[in-house]
Amino acid sequence: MKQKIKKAAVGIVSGFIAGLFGSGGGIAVVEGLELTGTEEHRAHAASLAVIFPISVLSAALYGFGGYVPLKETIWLCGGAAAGGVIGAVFLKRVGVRMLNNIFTLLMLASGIRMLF
Amino acid sequence: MLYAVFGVVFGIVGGMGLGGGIVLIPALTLLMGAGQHTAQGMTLFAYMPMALAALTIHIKKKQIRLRQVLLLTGFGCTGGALGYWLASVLAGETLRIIFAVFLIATALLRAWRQEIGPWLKKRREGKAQSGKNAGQNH
Repeated sequence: MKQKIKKAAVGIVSGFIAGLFGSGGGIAVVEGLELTGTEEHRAHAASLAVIFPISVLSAALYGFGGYVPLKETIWLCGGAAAGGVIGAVFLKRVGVRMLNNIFTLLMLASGIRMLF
Repeated sequence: MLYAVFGVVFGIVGGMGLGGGIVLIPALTLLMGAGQHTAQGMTLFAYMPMALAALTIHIKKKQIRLRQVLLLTGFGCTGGALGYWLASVLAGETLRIIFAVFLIATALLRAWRQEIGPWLKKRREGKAQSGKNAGQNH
C-alpha cells in the first residue's frame, strides 16, 4: 500500500513535469522508481511506457492550444523517427558514458544561456 | 529542413535513453528562435515516433510490468494535465526561466549520479583501504 502511494506520487510529479516543460518527465520516472527500489533497466523501460501516453495527451493539449507549427513539426518528427532507429542500433557501439557527459555539459550550458 | 537534422540528433540521443527532449527545447529556442511554448509542444510531438519504436523493443524483451505502468500512467496523466494548465497560464519568458533552472538542476543531478558520486565513493574506499594498510604496518 505504501509502495503504491509512493508510485502514485512518482506518477503525478513526472506527469506534471512532462506537461509543464514538454520534456524531462522520463528522467523523473527513472529517478523516482529507482528511489522506490526498481532496478535501473526496468525503470528505463517503465519510463518509456509511462511517458508515452502522457506525451500523447500533452502533445494533443499543446496542439489544440495552437502552440505547434505543422510543417516544421512534421520535419522534426520524421528526423526523430530515423534518429530513434539509428540510436537503438548504435547504442552498444559507442561510449555511452562519454555521450552522457557531453549531454550533461550541454544541458548545463544551455540552462545557463537560457537564464540570460 | 534544419528541423529534420535536429530531429535526427534528438532521435539518436532519445533512442539511447539519454534524455533527448530536454536538449531539443534549448536547440529550438536558442538556435531557431522558437517561443518556449512552441518548442515544448514540438518536442512532445517529436517524442512520439521515437518512443513508440523504443517501446516496441522493450515490450518484446518483456521488460514492462503492466500493473506498475498502469498505476503510474493514470496518475501521470492527471499530473500532465495540471502541468499543461500551469504552462498555459504562464508567460513564455517566465516558463523559459523556470525551464532553465530545471535544466541546470537536472544537469547537476546527472553529473552527481554518473561521475561525482562514484568518484567520491571510490576515493573514500581507497582511503579506508590505505588506512587499514598503515595500521598493519605499524
